[in-house]
Amino acid sequence: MAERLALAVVGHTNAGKTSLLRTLTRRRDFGEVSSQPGTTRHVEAVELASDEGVRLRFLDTPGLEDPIGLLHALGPLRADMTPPQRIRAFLATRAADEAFEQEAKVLRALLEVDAALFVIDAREPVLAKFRCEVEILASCGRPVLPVLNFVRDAGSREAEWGALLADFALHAQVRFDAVAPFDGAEAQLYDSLALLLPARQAPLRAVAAFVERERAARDEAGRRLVADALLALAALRRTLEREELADAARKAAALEAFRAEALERARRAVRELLDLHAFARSDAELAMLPWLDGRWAADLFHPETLRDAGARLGKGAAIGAGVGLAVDAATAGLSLGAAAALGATIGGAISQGFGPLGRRVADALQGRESLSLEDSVLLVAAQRLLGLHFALQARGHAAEGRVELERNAVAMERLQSVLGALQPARAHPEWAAEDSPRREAARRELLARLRQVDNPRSP
Amino acid sequence: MSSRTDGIALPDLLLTEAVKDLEADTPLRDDAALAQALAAGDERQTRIVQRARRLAADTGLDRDLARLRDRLLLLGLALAALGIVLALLVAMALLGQGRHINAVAAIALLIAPNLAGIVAWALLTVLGARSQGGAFGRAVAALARHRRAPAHVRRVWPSAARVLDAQHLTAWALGGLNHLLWALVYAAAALIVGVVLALNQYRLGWETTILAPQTLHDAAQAIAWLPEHLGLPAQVPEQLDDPDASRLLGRWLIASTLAYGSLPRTLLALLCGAVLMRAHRGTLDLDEPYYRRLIARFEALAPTRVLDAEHAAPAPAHAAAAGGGEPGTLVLIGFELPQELALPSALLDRAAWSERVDGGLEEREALLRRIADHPPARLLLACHAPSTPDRGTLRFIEAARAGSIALLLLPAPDAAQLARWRDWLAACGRGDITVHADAGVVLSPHG
Repeated sequence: MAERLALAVVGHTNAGKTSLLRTLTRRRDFGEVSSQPGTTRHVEAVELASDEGVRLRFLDTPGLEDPIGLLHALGPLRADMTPPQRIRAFLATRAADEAFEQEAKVLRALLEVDAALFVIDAREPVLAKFRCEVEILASCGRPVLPVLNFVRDAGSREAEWGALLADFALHAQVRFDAVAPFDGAEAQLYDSLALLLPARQAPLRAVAAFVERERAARDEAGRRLVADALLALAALRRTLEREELADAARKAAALEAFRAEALERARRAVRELLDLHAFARSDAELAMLPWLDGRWAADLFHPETLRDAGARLGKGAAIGAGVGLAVDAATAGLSLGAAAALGATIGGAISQGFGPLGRRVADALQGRESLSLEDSVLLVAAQRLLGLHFALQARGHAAEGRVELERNAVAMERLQSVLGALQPARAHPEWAAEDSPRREAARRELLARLRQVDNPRSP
Repeated sequence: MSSRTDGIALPDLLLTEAVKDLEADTPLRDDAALAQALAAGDERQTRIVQRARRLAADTGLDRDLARLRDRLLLLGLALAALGIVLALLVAMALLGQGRHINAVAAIALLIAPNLAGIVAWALLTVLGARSQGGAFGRAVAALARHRRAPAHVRRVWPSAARVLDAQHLTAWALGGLNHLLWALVYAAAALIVGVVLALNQYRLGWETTILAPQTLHDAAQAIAWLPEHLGLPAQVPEQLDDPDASRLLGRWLIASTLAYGSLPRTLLALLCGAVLMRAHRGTLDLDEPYYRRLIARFEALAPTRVLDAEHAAPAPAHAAAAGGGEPGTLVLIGFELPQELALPSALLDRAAWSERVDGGLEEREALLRRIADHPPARLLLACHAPSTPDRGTLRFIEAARAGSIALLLLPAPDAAQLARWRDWLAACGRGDITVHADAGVVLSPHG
């Protein structure tokens, strides 16, 4: 199905036209967005191509700033012309090149497209200028789909706007928050467009299905990414020799190096999640994430966090020496000891074969000890990474400000089963770095459990 | 993107997966590869494969793959040699010791393990179709990952094994090789037996202690059924003491070796080949995070185009007629305020007159006329703080004739709103207009 459709995005200045396009095309770098009026002063095109060959071409237009003056300049609708003819006649005048140069761009774009998305800041009071705006846009002879932005704001006047639009026969309306889109809002937007453009119904429905498929695919990929990171963290293991254990300074250095390795792996997962959801790593706002700077370490290995996680695990103080003795922050979150490692290995031995068990027994006999991450750390990492995945998924590409992980935090109790699926990795240090059919099987099992954890924000 | 392709050729699939493995820890520098991939077309898989091809060429991965292919060819030759050795062993088993051959026992020795092997393979293929590869494939993959394996094998083989596994082809590929080997073994064995029997005199027959000789004769006859239908000479003599008996049984032995040894193995090898050929195109698992991230990057690179460029800065508005006005008078205009927002009563008391304007054209012009008729010394425009200032507001300000104009933002603005209105006025060349955040300031003597 190779079809092309052109859609103009129009509206009053600063209503969020460019923001809407950023979110629809997942292009954080598209256009320029600011709270200053008149940031977009040219018509810019950006495409959304579905996997079935439908190409939607969006035209981002400057804002209409003086609709009252413009309606006056358009002059009265003479009996011998249609509304679009009046627009064309106006575009040929000098005013269209001078005083109303920007508005003329919007009107020219409108005459070229199949339909228009009319972006409305629903927080604005319904004033005469907006009535003029609706009148002008509705008279261009193109289907217009009003898109109500900022409807979740406390000051939203959605009902008033709905009534005004209905008065101009614009009954089909879409609620869309460019900063924090509702679940499925994109697909709904294309479905509504399909109703306005009966002749182009098939391609528009295809696009609606396409964006839904893409959303599902990103969700799956995100969960796989989290699964990989968790498996690698669970598999992380380092053996300390007897001499290393005896020397306090060397032991401390080894613990620190191990923790740094764990953090780097988790940070990599964060970077990859940002890539996956098309948020640039350099985004100043995203850099505010506690995860990308030094606070990450404090978060993942914070004794308080771990104690909390341990309590939720139902093991309380027994979770490990590091957490039990909050004063010893040096070993918080790390499980050190032949016995602990042996226990985990025996647990995994039944399903994973006895090779690793023999190695551990040998370690124990020779006074070596094994360093790995405690369950509480894995639990915290699982919660944070999944939360980030959900937060980025729900975040519009026009959003400014920091990512709110708190709103997307999964209750730790719900991650218990995930933790269970991570245990086999403890017996396979090689899984931290490389793939194998056994790791694949463990990953499948882990994924099955991760897929059952829903985004806490979605109903 | 544009219509989906039928799939990706197996070598490309393998190369792409190998590049994926190579990038597992640290992504490669791929600016040139990305550009090349973008130019290759709209289809996602095509782009990903194109990028991988370029990166494979840059990193020598394609040479590794070629080397691996050469090695596999050598391995094939070695297997053929092994086949000949095995054939000799089979021939020796058939011919037995001495000049006396028990033909029925010989053929049973030949058919039984072969048929058992075929049944075992079939069971493994059917049962193992769901699991990921057989134990043998797993063992080879584990060996290839071993530290001591040559670098080119380590870089390519794990991904090759994974691709075959994902396509459920491992059993067919290994089976094909296996059948080819045994087809060769039995053909060579038949040849060797033929040569030996042609140039030596053997006595062929059958012997039994507890069975009736007729039973063995019937068995031989039953075995002859298949080769005879295939047109091979496999006639069983009626009496073992016929002068032709050994000659006939010799031919029967060779024909049976071909019919029950070579033939089924050849047919099965062809079947495996056909399955491999049919499935020689596969698809990438685009739900894998690695590929999803690549897709996100490709999409971010799609060009945007400026169509209707900005060709003139907005015309500077004509300067307002400043100065003058009736001394001491203050006029308060509620400009485009929401209805529920009341004007501050203190200001209303102080103002000579006040009016609210929703912004309709007639209403607006009547108001401007009223101001022009009696220009006040101070015109205070109360605007909606959260709303975005626009050119309509500016045109009104420019058209209003008053001694001085100031803005008051209602309700009390936050710092960002205040800054936005001030920046906007400055950008419009009207930095001279004061923006008040607080009605009290307007009333103070310095306001």
